[in-house]
Amino acid sequence: MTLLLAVIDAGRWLAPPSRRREWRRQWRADIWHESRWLDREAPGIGPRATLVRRTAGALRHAFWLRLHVRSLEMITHDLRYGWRMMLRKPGFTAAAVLTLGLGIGANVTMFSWVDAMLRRQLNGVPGFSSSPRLRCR
Amino acid sequence: MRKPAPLAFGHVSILHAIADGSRFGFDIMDATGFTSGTVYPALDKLESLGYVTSKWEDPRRARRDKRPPRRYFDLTDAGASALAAALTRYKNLKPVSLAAWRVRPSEG
Repeated sequence: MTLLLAVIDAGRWLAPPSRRREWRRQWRADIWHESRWLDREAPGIGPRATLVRRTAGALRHAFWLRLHVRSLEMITHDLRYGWRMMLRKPGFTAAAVLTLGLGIGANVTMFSWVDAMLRRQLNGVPGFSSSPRLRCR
Repeated sequence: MRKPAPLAFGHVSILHAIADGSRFGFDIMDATGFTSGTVYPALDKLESLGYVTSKWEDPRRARRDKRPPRRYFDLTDAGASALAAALTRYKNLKPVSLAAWRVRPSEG
């Protein structure tokens, strides 16, 4: 039983941090109870082999949790990872920020100009409505 | 509200085992014959769907008995309804003749 519990202790790192404690607690308890029951009711190598096989399924369970548990913690991990990468490559970060800044700035300027020069000037002109949507009657 | 999708056979078997009195992972494995790698993720999935609820045993009681506390599973009302609907669906399956296939007695 000690070996199986050691497998659970080692395998807990496969489970996502938010479920790790509960996963370990549940599996340790179930293995402990099953092992005691086997000692009393079904001694022999066959049932023990089944218990070993079932313990191996704990790792699959942990991996399943890792794939399916979506939580805030994963978002914060991604954000922290992104921040670390940005600090590690300042040249790339500067180029990305500059590209984004220029792109957004150019778009805002262009649409502001179009808004000021074309749409607003047409307000009040007979034949054009003053609604935000430009219409010609 | 969208109608929930019908449960897979494995999930129905697990709900059935819980309704039949199996309360924890290894017990459910014995009842269904599924592996632990199937039963434990399915229990988590059923709990997230609201069909099953889990409760940790009182740690003081477990400590008094010198054993670790267990996690017990139980059906919710939604789980019982889903199980009843699935069992009705299986019961309504039309009997078919398998004479054209070689069906061994153990598989039949």
